[in-house]
Amino acid sequence: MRIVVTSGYNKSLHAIALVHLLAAQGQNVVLCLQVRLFNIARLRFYLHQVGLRKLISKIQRAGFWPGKIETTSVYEEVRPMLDYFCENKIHSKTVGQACKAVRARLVNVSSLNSPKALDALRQADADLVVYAGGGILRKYFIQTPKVGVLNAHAGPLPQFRGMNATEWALFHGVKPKITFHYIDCGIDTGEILFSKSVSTDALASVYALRGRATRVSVEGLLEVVKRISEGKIQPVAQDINAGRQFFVMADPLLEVLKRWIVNRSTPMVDCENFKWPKK
Amino acid sequence: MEPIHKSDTLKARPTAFQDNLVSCAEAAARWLARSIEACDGSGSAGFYSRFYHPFKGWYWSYPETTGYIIPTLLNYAVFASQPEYTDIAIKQADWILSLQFDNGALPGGVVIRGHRAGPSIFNTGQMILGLVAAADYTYQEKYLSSAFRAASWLANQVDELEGIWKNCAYVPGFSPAYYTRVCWPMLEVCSRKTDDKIKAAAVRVLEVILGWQQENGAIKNWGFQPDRPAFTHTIAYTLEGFIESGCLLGPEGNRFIQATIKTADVLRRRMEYRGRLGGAYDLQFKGRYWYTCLTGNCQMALVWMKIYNILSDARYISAALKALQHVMQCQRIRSFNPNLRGAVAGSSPLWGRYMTFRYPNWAAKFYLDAVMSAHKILQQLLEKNPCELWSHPDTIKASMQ
Repeated sequence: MRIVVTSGYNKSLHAIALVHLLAAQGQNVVLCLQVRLFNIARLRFYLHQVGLRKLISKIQRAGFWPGKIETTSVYEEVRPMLDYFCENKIHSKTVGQACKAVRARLVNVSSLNSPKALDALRQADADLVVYAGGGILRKYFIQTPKVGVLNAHAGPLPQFRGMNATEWALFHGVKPKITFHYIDCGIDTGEILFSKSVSTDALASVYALRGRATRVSVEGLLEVVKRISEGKIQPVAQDINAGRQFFVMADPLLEVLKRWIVNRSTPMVDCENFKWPKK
Repeated sequence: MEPIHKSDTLKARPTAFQDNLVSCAEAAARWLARSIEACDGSGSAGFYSRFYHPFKGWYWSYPETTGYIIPTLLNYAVFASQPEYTDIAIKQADWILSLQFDNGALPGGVVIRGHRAGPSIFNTGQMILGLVAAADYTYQEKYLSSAFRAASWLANQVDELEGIWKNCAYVPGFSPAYYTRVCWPMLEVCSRKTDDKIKAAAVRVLEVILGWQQENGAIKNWGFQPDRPAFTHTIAYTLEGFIESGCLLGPEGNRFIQATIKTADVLRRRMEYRGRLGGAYDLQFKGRYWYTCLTGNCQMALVWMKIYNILSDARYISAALKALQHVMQCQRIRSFNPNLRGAVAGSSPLWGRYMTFRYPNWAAKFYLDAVMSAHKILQQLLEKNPCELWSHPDTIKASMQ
């Protein structure tokens, strides 16, 4: 199966891990589409979404801007992936290096929906795209690969769609779960393939939870790709009305969530038992 | 004696954001008190602006907004355990009593050197809110009877043919959708002193305005002027009127609550996608994003928090907190000018279309309301666990046992 991996930026840890481990699994990684970090559309999107202060903090976190950063939170978020790199002996530090190591083509694009990205995707004759970041996808991109575009959604579907789904699930007392699904034109509404729980044992913070979720999403994507290539998995359509679409969680609610995590008194239910009240 | 669990002590402690809310509220309340001092205790000055009033800075006392500042100050007195704000609020209620016309109406515009303007439908409604709050606090009949006379006047003014007010308008001949915020005070009066005529008039007006709601959630005539984009201030006025009336009417008012949710949900999504609420919207929800109407932000935060309280849908409280955070960043906390300390501008940037270069008293009022409401909700969230908070079906509770 000819596989294409997308990447949101050159130092994306989960994209690097995916490129390496898919190849190690015996998959044919033919192309990596990497979105340029600094482009006007992307900066505008983030500026609208998170505001200037958070945008600067995001750039600082990525290591492109000197200044005071919350090193503990960054470390907590990145640590599970760094451990994963050590366990799997991955030495590449950038997506470029990973592509070089597995002899995959790397194409830098301004957007995954740009003509350049679509051309590269067609030339690669891709069967499956593994989405590891890079922004919202349009119809033409989604329809190009033969099997589909695979995504790891950081929350239980169909209940929690959209952004910060791990946090929102925990906020509602639902055990966090990564859901693997095909991307369609809606927001996290595509057919579900598989889901994998994220452990909340001895959880210290929201950042640690995010880090664990990233690691679980990489492990799960590898498993799903393997099952797809073996023809051992059947997608299941979602009940869109059973879910709600969330946006970025407001900071004061994150503070509440942190407190709940520290308290550890929060009972949690499985997502299978969770239903939204009818309108 | 039961051992104190670590989590119990953590639960009661407010978050850093809540501490910030308390200090923001204090600054806003002090500024409001200063706006009243500027008018020698007789009403709150409409706004502060060195641009419009280079010498004094303060505008004349504004009865309409003074009216609805009364419940805010009474609530703040309890919130901050500062009874001096109660005295200030009650004095304002007495001042409003002194402005009432013989027919029960209350004046529009500002009071200049003791001279009041003619009666106004909208302003009468807003002052009723202050009178009702004073009546609830003091148990004195004079406030409620004054509110009742004002509400009766409003009921009598409803046009029999069209079912809405046509006279004593802000823009002559134009009946705006934010008249829902006149129906709400009328229903507040009815909930304390039953009167079928007042209730029927209020419900009739609400029904007429409900008929103006379009399929996309926008409501015709929701601005100050016809066929112009509406500031979020007047949009939120309309929604506040609907939702508060809906809550007071019980099951009969469910349709008004649903109408509010329909419009508020569109605005919530717009804000989430764009990262902020526009300053104004037209009937196709095309926003003016180069400025924000800070008053509108606070009012929309209040509407979303109200919806959160009804639906227990956390998306609304998240949106409300984001809208409020934006205003918190714009509040003048550190200023050498004491008349600016704690003030909230009409627009951000200051040269935005709404109340350009001015710090209106109603911006501080709605801000203070939103801050106190947000604090309360966050405290409730801290003191409970998620499964208690969200109305899960019985299956979840069963699975937890």
